[in-house]
Amino acid sequence: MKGPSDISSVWDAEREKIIGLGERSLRKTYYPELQQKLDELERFRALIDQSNDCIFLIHVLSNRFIDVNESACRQLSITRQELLSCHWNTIFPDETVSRAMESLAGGLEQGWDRDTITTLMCKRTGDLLPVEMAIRIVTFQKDLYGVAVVRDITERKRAEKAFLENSRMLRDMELAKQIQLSLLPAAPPEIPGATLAGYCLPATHVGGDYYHFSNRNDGIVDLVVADVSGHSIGSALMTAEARAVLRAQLSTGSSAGQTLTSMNEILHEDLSRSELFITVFCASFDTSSRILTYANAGHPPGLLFRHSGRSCQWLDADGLIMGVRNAVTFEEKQVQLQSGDLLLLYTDGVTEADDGRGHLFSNERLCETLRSCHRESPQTIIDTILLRVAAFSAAIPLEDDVTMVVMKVE
Amino acid sequence: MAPNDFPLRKFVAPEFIFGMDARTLAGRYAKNFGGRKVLVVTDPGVRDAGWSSQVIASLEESGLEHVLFDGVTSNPKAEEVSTGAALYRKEGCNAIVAVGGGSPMDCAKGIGIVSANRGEIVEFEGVDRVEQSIPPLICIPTTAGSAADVSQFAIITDSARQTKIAIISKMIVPDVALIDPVTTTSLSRELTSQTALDALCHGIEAYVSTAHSAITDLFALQSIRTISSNLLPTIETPDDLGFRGRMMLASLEAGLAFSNASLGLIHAMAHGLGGMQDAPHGECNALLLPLVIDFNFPAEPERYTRIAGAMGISTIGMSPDDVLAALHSRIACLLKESGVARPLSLLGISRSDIPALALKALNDPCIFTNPRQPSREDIEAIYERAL
Repeated sequence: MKGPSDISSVWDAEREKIIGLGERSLRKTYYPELQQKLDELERFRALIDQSNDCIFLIHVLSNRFIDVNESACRQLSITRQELLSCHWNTIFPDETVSRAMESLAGGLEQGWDRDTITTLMCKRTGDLLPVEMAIRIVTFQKDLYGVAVVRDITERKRAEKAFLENSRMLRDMELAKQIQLSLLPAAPPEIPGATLAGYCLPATHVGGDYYHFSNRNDGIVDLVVADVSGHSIGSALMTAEARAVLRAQLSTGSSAGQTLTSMNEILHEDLSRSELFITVFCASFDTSSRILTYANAGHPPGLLFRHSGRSCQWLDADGLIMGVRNAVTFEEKQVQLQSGDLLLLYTDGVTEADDGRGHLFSNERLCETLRSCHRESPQTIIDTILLRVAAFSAAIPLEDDVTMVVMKVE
Repeated sequence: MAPNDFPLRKFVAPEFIFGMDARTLAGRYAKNFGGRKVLVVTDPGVRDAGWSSQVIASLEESGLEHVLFDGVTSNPKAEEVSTGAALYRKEGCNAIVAVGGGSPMDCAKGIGIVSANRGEIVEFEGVDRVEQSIPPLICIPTTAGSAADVSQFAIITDSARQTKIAIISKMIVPDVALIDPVTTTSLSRELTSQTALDALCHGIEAYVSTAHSAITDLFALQSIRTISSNLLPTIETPDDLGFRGRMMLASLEAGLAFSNASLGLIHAMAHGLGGMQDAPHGECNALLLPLVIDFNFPAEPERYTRIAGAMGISTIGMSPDDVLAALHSRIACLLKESGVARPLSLLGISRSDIPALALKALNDPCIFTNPRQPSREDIEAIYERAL
């Protein structure tokens, strides 16, 4: 229960408020609220101005700009005042304006309220910007307005073009790859006393590696592995040219050394002009005598695995890389093969495969691999080497083309 | 004068235009306040008398749209405020014009409060509880009594609690009052008397209020003087615009006085009666007037003596008791001639209602400026006498 003095103090406090001396006793004023709304508007304006898009507010009835954002002024290199006083014909092509005006005037009746037009925007300097205009009808206080948001699509256009070019090039490269693969022997020739297998995988679409084997009528089998520097279209073209020259030379019945000498002479000029080089290992195997004759133009030496001693022997011969000098003589060597012996010709994509820590696959690992699988067929031996190389370089994709030819003497 | 003679006092009044045909300025003002679509708040009686349609015509002349809300009853209810506010929102209004007596004007204030502040109107009971400014509000009074068109008060009936709540805030003082005596010519004899006696109570309570000031005193005494000498002639010749104008002016003066000096025990006790039985506000006040004077007189004998003087009583040489007796008979005469002030029992109040009524009166904001602090028993005794 309140005492009389409590009641008096409550009365006094309430009376003060009724008189109008309370903290919150004030007449109606919209100013604080107005100020707050103005601040909000100013913040919103900053938001609109900072947009990368040009924003235009168009009064539909009078067909004039009512408001534009700063981005529009900046991108058109024109002041706000100038922009508000000019007609939109000065900025956009006539057909764009008439389409936009039609949209604005008739859109609502036809039951839609937006349109998107791809067009050009003309800067004061006369430069034309490719733009996309999204136009939308809005109603404020019963008046119709169009809001046009105009976006510079120069970058997008450029990217679209680049994408188109890229995909065209990709298609071409894919075609080139198919053609290049078709230049390789479809299947190894069947020869008495030996079995063969070949493999070639370009690191990119097209490459500079090539292999060849052919069976002459006189019981001689030619085995060739070549590597044109680089993996470009240029390398691929040169590979095709080298292939033609090689086949022509082999068809004349020339020996390995003669073949390389002629190839170097014929290709020298083209190689020098395109600043390319070729390394070639060329061998011919006499199936009746089991004598292998070979010559080398700067290529990694052939690997002969002796069945008898389970040992590796490197077959090398003097000879310069093709494309360095015009007249070159290539040393020609011979070796007698025995039953069970293996010949492996390869490109440096095999021995120089990298494990990402600076180690190469190396001749030693190659020899070791052969030792472990020499009893298998040539195709299985190739598959085994590929698996070992892939495991060695782990996740790192091969940087170089990989090519191998294997012959096993029976 | 001693420093104590100048306690802090505030005087708040809206812009008001007083005079013949002031109502026709509604359109111009609504437009100048930024109105686009105006909610016109009125009651069926005022609508039928044609005043709201004249105001609407003025709005249309100014090119403004409007929506009519004529669902206000006497002693306006909280539900009516909600209905009006929902209509205001639904129709997208942005200004309010009230045409009528205290009920439509108080309801319009309530609609304004709810529209700007959300929530329910009962949440704003008390002093200075309105935070956000209400929409532009134009009041066109059609009675000479409530003066809600110039006041910071809104009285709304909370039907659920069977009581009237008082909302007191400078925020709800209208933006302009268009005070047109012509609109009072359609008032019945009964309403003319009831509203005039309400205005008389405003003047008397404001004059003896503990929040009175030199400025409110001027208006209060002047209103008492005018009402006392013009009430009966107005009732006799209701179409006389001279009398009607003077009564309207007196209502305005009493309004300016009580809006700033506030009221007292009469209003605190009358609000409970109106809330409980929907009894006419003016009649409740009139009935309580002599009884509350008896109670308050000892606290302000000099002020009551000046009131007696303003009512035409020559008080020179009178003892306070004589003054009180003379004041009594003067008021009794006014009440009798105007035919107002039936006893409470005839208004549907019984003895068992009294404790609840007394409790409500003790908590009504109007009581805080009464010149004498009553106990609950004091209030119950006054109700007893009024039965």
